[in-house]
Amino acid sequence: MDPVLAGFIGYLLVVVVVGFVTVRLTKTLADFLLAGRRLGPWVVALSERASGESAWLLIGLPGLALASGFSAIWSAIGCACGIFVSWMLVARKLRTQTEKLGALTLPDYFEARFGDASHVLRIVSMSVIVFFFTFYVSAQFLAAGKVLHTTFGIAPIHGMIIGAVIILFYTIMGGFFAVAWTDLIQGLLMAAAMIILPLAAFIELGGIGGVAERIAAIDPNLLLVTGGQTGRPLIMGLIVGSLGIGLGYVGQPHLLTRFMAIRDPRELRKGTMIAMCWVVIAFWGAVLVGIAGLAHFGPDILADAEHVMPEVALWALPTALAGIIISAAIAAMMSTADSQLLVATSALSEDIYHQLMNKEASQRRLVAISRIGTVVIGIIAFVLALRAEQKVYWFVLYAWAGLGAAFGPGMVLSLWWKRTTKWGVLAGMIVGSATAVVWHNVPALKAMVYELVPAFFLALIAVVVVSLLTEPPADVAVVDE
Amino acid sequence: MPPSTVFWVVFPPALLIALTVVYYVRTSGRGD
Repeated sequence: MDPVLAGFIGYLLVVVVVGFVTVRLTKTLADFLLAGRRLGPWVVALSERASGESAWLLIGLPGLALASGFSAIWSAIGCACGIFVSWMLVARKLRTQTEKLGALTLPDYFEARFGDASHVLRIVSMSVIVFFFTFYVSAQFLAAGKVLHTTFGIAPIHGMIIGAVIILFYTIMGGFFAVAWTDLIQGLLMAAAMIILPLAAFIELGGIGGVAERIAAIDPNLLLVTGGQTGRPLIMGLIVGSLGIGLGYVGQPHLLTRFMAIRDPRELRKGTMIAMCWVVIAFWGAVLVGIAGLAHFGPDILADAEHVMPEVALWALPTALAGIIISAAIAAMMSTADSQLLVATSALSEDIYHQLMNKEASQRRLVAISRIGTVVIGIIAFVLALRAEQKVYWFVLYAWAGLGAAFGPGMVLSLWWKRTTKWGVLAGMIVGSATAVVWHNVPALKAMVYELVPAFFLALIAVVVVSLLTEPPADVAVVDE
Repeated sequence: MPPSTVFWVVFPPALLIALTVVYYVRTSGRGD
């Protein structure tokens, strides 16, 4: 049997087993949406990391390094800084406060934090989540179709069906438990791939000296972290734009909910350590895979720069091991899709059904509603992927920047600044998402810097200014540590 | 390999891990 196919089938069997095992653990809505806040630091840290990085990390980032050389390191630095800040500033406080406020979702948290009886914060934040995440899941299904088509030669539609059915199966069965445990496996697989592959490739190429020599012969600028650029394009386009990607982490609901699921907030110390080691291995490994590909293949040999990771694996590793490494890209896609699916589900079951329609619903009913919600979101995302492929990509372009700017400033300030008001947070959501969309669509602005940077800072200003202009909350539901 | 490239490839992850270790050590024994 083809070793890549054997590796993939083995991986699918493992995630199906996780689905069957975790179904017994899921008895309440808190179990389905947050694993009952019973997870350990390894599962939480690797679930947050595997969910945070889609196939972009293993496919896109090496492709960027192949095309632009060592200047791709700025994207790794930007993401690493964002992840570090998110674990430092948000993780512990969010975990502690959401438990004391009884919040299962981010809209739950915002509503309880500000005592918002009008539900305006819940409705706006929930709408933003359902909108963006349905498109996000849809894009992951499309990616599944493409990866399976490229890897095994099966029709993209069949790849989409396989990816969607597997993800839906274990998410429906075990909810957050299944998603987090499969994320753990997927995160370990991704990290192993990003250790083994660059090491093997650099050894094949004669070490760092051999790689530098080959790249210098192609273009010495590819060896520079500036990429040979100077002045404004260097500062704004490359450095600020790449570092700016990291601003998005503090506002991604599918990552923030991971912090809420740990059994003891004190264990987030260990979680931070695990997450940051993973970041260094995975991000720097991904850049070095692209660099090795650049040294071996040159910049123009591969038809598509994003094929560099599988090509380097097939060239530098025994075929069986290459199969497992390529499966890591599929794992990366699935670990992101399942977490996004669960966040969209939580908006339907907790934010709409439980909180707005049926406060007295039994836990059994809420779990059943969650499972139905997962199927509904999954089917909508699948139909969107089939019917509106271009539109899906169009919306996903805004998703990282839109979510990061809409939720990030409000999240950080609501945790750290008692004077934050609900109107401030609401203003941040509106200004952040609107700026991301407008900036992206004005070519002159888009050329200046990545839209998340202005969107995030304008949203931050909006939260501060509107909070100062509106009445301070009388009875702030903030819990000091 | 240009020294500036070696610096930017090695220094940020080293600093990140060092800061994480400092955070880990300083928060040890902190209750909630």
